[in-house]
Amino acid sequence: MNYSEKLENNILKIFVSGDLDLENYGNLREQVSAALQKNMVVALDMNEVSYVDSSGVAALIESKQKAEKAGKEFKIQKPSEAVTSVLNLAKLDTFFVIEN
Amino acid sequence: MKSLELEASEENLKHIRNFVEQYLIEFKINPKTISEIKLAVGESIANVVKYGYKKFDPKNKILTVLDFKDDQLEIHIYDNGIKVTKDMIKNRDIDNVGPGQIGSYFIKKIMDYFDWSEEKSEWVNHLILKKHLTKK
Repeated sequence: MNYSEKLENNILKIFVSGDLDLENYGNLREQVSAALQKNMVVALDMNEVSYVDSSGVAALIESKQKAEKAGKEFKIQKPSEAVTSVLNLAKLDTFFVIEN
Repeated sequence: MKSLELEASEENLKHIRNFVEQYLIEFKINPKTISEIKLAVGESIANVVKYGYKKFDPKNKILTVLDFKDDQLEIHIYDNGIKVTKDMIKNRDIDNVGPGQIGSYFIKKIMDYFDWSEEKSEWVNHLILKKHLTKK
C-alpha cells in the first residue's frame, strides 16, 4: 500500500495513516526512499497514525539518516499522540525535526 | 483470565494488540497505560513473527494469555519458534541512534518484569510480562 502524496512549496508530503508496524513499515521505508531520490525535502504527515512500533520507528530513523547522507531534509509533521508518545519513550523527540 | 491463539502472521499482530486493549479497557485502566502495554505486547509478538518463526506457516501459532493476580497484570506469550533466553536480548545504545534494539528497549521501559519461563511446557517459548496496575 502506498500512502498519498502531495507536493507543496517544494516539499513532498506523505500522508501516513493507520498502524505503522511490522506489517507495513517496509512500504513506508520504500516510499520515502523513492521520494528522497526526486525531492530535496520529504515530510511525513503523521496526524492519522494510530499505532507505531519499533519497526515503524526504525523506518523513520533510516529515512532521516538516508536523507542526511544525500544532503536532503526529512521531517515529521503533525504527529498524532500515538507517534509523539512512542518517540518520547524512545528518547527520539529531539532526534527528528518535528513540526506540530 | 482470557486467552487468544492465532497463526503467527504479520496480519494477526493487530488482532492480538486489540485483544490486549479490550481486556484492559474492561478493567478501566487509563488509556496511556493501555497504549504502552499494547506496545510492549506488540513488540513481543512481532519478535516472535520476525525472529522466532521467520517464515509464515499456518502451523505456527502464538498463544496470548492475560490475567490479573491481585493488582498485577500478567501476560503470557507462548510460541514454538527459535528458543529465546533473556541473555540473547541486546541493550540499546541510547547515545548512538540506530534502528536496532528499540523493541526490547520499549518492553523493558514499560513492563516491571519480563523473562522466559524455564518450566517445562508443550511450547518452546513462554514469555512472561508483568506490570503492577490498579484495577477500577
